[in-house]
Amino acid sequence: MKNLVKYFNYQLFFIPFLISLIGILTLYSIHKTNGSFFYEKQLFFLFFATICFLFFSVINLEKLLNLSTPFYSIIIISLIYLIFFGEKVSGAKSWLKIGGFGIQPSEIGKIFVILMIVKIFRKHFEGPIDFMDFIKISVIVGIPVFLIFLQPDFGTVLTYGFIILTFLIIFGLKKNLAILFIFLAIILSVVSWNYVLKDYHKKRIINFLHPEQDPLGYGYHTLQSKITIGSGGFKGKGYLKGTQKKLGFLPAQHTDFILSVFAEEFGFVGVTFVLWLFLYLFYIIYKIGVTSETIENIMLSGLVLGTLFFHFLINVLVCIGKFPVAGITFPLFSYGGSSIITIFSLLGLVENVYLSRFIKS
Amino acid sequence: MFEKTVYRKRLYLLKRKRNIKIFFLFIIFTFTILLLFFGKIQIVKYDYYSGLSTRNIKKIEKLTPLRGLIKDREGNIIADNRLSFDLIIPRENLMGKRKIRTIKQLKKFLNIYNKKNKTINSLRNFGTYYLSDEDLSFKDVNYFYSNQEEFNNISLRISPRRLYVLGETGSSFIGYVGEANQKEIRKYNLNIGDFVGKTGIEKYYEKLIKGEKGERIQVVNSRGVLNKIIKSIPPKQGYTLNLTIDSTLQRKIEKLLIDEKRIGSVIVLNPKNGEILSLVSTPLFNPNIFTSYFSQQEWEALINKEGKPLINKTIKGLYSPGSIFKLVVGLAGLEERLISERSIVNCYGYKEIYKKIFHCWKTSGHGPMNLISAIEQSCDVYFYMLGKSLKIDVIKHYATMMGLGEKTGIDLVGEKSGLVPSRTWKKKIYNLIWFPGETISVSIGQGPILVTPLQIAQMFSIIANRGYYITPHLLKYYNNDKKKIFPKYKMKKVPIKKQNFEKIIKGMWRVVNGEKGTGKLAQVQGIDICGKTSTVQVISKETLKSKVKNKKEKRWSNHAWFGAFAPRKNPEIVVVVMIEHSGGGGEIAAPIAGKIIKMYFKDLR
Repeated sequence: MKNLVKYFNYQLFFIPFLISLIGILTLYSIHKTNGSFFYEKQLFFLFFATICFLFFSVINLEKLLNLSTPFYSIIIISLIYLIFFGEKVSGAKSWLKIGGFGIQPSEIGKIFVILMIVKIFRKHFEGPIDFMDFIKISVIVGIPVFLIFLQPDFGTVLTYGFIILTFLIIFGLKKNLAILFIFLAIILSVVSWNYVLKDYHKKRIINFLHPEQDPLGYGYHTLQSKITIGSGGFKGKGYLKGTQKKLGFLPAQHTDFILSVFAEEFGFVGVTFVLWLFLYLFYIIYKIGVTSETIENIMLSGLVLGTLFFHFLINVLVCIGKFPVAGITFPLFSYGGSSIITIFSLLGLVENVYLSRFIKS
Repeated sequence: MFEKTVYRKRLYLLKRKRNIKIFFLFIIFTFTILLLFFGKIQIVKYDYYSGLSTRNIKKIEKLTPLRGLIKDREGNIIADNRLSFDLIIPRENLMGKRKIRTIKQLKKFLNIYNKKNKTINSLRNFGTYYLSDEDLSFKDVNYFYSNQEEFNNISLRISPRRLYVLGETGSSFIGYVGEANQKEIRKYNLNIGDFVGKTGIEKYYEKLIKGEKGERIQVVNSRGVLNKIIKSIPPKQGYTLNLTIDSTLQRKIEKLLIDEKRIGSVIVLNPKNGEILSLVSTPLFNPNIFTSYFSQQEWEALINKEGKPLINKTIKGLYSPGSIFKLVVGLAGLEERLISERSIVNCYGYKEIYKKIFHCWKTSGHGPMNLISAIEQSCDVYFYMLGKSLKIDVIKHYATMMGLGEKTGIDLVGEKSGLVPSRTWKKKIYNLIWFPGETISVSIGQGPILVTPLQIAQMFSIIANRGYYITPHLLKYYNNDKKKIFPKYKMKKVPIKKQNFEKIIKGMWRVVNGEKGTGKLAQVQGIDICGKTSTVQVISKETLKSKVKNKKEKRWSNHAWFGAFAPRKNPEIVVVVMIEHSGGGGEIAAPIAGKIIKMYFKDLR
């Protein structure tokens, strides 16, 4: 316990904690205009997330990896349960009600999917990923993705894609597999355009490519987001003084576009600060990763880094109109209990990795 | 062996770390780019987005003013405003999830009144709202308001519409309003969906009548919900136009023509001040149909209807003046001193001029004729001879002086100028020289000479006033609560000697009152009327005989003219009657003029 206090990487906890607090401040600002109580709930979630962080940072990683298969199975079962018995909340069956609380197994699932990947590929000591490896990871990630796709919650599906993407970045692909991959991607996009994507998705994409065609239709949200950010200027309009936010021109203020609300009130200065906090957080995770000496530790930190980074990147790009509206939240910052708990748990695992070099548990 | 494995393991770890390092470089690069993006939006384009942001908040609403009223000379309202209820849908109710419910409600509302032709596709986009159905009946409005909860996504807009109180009366010159087209929107600074005068007085005085738009600037949120009003300027109603028209007389004349099923024009004006008392063009139409929903078929039926009701024949109808033109030729002869009152021409029923036979309308001949009797009996031969010696350019000079072949400048749009021929005209249009023989038919107002009934009315004013006139007009004055403005109409002199007018008037008096006068049917007991008949052939007798199969067809009948003023001394009114394809001026037009003069002097005064 003494060692724990001594060697604990405090920055790894307090940087994301600070980001979440700024998020709660922004949620409070939203509360001031529309009376929503997201900030109160988020404060509670942050408290719970802190416990999860601590729990995952002290848990025996070896035991956890061994237990990851049953946990993974529980997630899959609950996802199947949702498909049949879940209730639709804002268009998707993603909420599991447990004693008054709602959790999203699709969010929590990321922890165990990552652990499963580490468990299966820790014995992998050869070079780039071959075909069989790819099949393995596709199955691990593919099962929950398929079930989430049925909910349907495309934003979350995309975040699972980030896990695979990060995995490929860390391990690299064999050349012929890479070519096959590109080929498959093309086929998949054609097929999904014609058979999978709904009209409103297509409209979002077309509109993203040609926003000027319909500024009041589907391009409305993107344009409003840019107006919100841009009108903040260098210094911002001041805390609680955002007019765009106030008059309700901006949709999904507490989730997808929370960064825009923040940018309106705190300006370029505020945005730079938040971006710097994220970059610093990523740096800490990166540093832990590259100084680790076991493949499990490298993989774990790398996967958390990549997943979190892409999640972050897509949301920022959506806010500034460089990516179609995807239904992805701003990690740590946006309202969402399951999301913040998942991210803090993942960061807890990275802390665990960090502590493992000092403390033999 | 063991060492080799350890080495391979280390190498493998190093490779993974290397990948993560490259990945982190990518992360740093991404952050740089993101920062640049934010810089561009928040610093470089700050002014642009800031401007859009304030526009988001402010909603500027234009308030439509009431159109000015149109009244007759007695103050009776001719054109008024009424309330109209239009079915509209706010734009946001057709967006996102609300759309389905809105359309359901709309379908339900329209189905109740069986308006199946008004589908969702016929919605018209006006930016912040969509217009579904215009000018609902009271039944519809009543139903809507008593079931308002059912139709909470659609709403009714109340807006002013034109109401022509007298219906068909005066339709030819009042005109009508319709939705403004792109050109009109630019010209008068209007909005889409605004009404604008399309013809007649409504168009000519658009700028006076339209009023000034009001403006309401509100702060709204994204749902268009009002937060507060910042600024509100009420709209200003347009000026009331007080016309010179006597709507009672106007209606009586219209009834007279319609009862006899006549297509044509009647103008009654006061020669002293140019005020038009009646301006009738038949058949009539009801301008109220233009202010609400109007189908393409209805429109086509109206423009193709027999007699073309939408064409104001008093200013757009072009006809040969016929014998009325003899008055101009007579005046020219007197002014040029080619004839005197006593100059005699013998009429044998025809005359050979330039080796061609020209017939008088009276084939048996009039015998010896002087100017007065030639006007009284409308002898053609007398004016053939006079025209021959005058030559075409002199005739043109006097015709122009009397206002023929040129627009009068009445306050209506679309007036035609007509035509009085000359040598230069023929050279220019046909590149041919003028043959002296052509002058002969022009002398009796036939051939290539065209005038409007209004030009004839103006010419009769000049004769009645013995040498001056004021442009015929319809607007007496316009006013609003604060001011009353009388437009100034200038008196214009015609350089012809007064005694020459008197000689012509003497002839004109005999047309109505003389023993052999052609216009005796215009007589009214106790009133000294001067006039001139005219019968215009629409086709030459030879062509009619040789080429036309059905000679009794109406379109081959003559046009009948009768122009008059009364009393002879100090005239008060000029009356011009022009009836298309009806017969002789003395038989058809003169009695109508007589009835109108009687109405004016006996019934109205």
